[in-house]
Amino acid sequence: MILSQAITPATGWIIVILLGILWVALGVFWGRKAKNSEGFMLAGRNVGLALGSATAMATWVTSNTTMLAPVFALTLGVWGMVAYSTASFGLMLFAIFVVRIRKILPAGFTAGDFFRKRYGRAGWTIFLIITMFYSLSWLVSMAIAGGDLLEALAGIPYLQGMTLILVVCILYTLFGGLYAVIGTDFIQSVIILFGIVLIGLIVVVKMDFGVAYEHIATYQPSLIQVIMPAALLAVFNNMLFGFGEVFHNNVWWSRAFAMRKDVAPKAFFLSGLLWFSIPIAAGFIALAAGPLGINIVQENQTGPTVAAAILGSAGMGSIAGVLILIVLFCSMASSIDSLLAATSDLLIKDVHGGLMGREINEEKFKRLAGFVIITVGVFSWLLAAPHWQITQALFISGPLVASLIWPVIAGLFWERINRKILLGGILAGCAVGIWAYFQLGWYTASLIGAGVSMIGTIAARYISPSKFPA
Amino acid sequence: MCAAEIDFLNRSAQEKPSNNGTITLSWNNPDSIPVILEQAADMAFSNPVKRYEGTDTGSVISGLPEGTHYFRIYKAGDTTSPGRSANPIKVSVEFFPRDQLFLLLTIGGLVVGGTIGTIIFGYFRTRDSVEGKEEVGA
Repeated sequence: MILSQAITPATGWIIVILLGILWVALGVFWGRKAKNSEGFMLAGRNVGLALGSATAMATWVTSNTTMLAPVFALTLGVWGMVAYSTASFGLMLFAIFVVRIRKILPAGFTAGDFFRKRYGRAGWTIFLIITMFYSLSWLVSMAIAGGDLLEALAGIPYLQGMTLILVVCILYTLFGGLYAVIGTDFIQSVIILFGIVLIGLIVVVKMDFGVAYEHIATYQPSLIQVIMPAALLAVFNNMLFGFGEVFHNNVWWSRAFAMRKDVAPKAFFLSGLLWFSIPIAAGFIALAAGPLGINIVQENQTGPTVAAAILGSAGMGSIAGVLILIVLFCSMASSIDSLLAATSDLLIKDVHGGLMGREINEEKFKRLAGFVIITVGVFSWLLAAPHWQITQALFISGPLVASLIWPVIAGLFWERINRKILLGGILAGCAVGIWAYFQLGWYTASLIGAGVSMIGTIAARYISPSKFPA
Repeated sequence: MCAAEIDFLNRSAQEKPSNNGTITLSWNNPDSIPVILEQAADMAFSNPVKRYEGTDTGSVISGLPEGTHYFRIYKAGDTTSPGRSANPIKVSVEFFPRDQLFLLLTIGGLVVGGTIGTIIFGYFRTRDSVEGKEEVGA
């Protein structure tokens, strides 16, 4: 089955524009609370448990979760589903980090503050290069996924659809800062959960599990094989990729600073727990494709294709496309807005204020923040417009972010380190991890990157270490 | 006028060995006529299994076990032997070598176990420490 224009272009435009107006209106409404830079960047450091856990969960439910988790299940089977879900462990462990982050950096703004404090200008620069590469490839890959989705579901030309999604997210982030991002994330997380649970329930009702097992055992035996090499390696690889993404990125650090101190650990743990089930549900839907006789033509359209077929067979044909579009649009918007906000914060505080040494006063802050958010958005649009396969760049960033896992742990929990050896370990982890990506397979790259950096960090702990500066 | 011949596209790319048991097959079908995709364990298709029937122009086949698999595509209802057996595609599935797999799994266990253990140990070791004076960004 080909996912071809389940809804008309007019319906697609109407849905996205209505959702866009809603998000922007809420952004403007919530944005009125942002009276100063701390309000705009960190939502006044007063985010509670419900909003905190919803924003962390919604941000982590990206287009990759809803689009790639089904591909993992379809191609790697049960272990593939488990592999994708392990990315939630990063959020759960970050709950432990938050306690320590708030002790070390009670007035911190960005993840860059931590790297600068612990590893000096050299470590901070390495962090900025890695995180900018990762964040931009994540942001651009989602803008591309948004354009692809609107084209596939509604026949809206790629460039128009991609532009529409980016403009909506830029507008409400611009008006409301982190207040708007967190508020919209809450609503988006409810919509995402509702959509995935609904489709999962229909699959449960429609599928005879005995017949499904027989079908998979006969035609797709590797999907339920215990020793499925690529899938087993993907478990460790994906887990470490997830650790690297969450531990280093400012999307999560800004939330750690934004939540109330007593709430933050619970919120991160709860969001990880809630998120764990989403790739399982999305993957389960994809595993049902074979037994339900749904032909997948394009691997990257597995999720929407199976969802459209299942909803259609349940008599929801006319609204299936609408529901899928709303759920996927929410999953993309909830991550694009977070990345726009967090990347802009990093550019303002770390690059403009830190590397360039410019003063940031409160009067000029809002104008500067607006300029940076629009610039990041335009830059992302320029990278997404040629429709490059930038998803590859996102996956290559796996070993890079995994190489930062141990330096973050050491900086948070240890008292002394040999900076030069540690930074050498990060660079070696990046280099060997990228080599593994191309020579051994993507499912080994983050594991090897993290392993090499771990050896470097442990060596840095014992070979002539010096105390971290106070 | 005779309908265009149904055949696989870009054969060399589709015949590349798979390391995870998944292959993406695509074929031409300009007239959108019903086609049948069959799989077999031998070139002669002595015991074929139907994997798809319809008007789509491709299919993602996943979960294949290690070994060699053959696929053929033909117009539904075509019972002539040459039509059916024309140009099957041969795909070999070779999983990651077992010795390297177990080495990497061991490394994976050590790295993940070490990472989680260090974080938990670090948390308990530092949870009562007072570092509130260290302000950054203030």
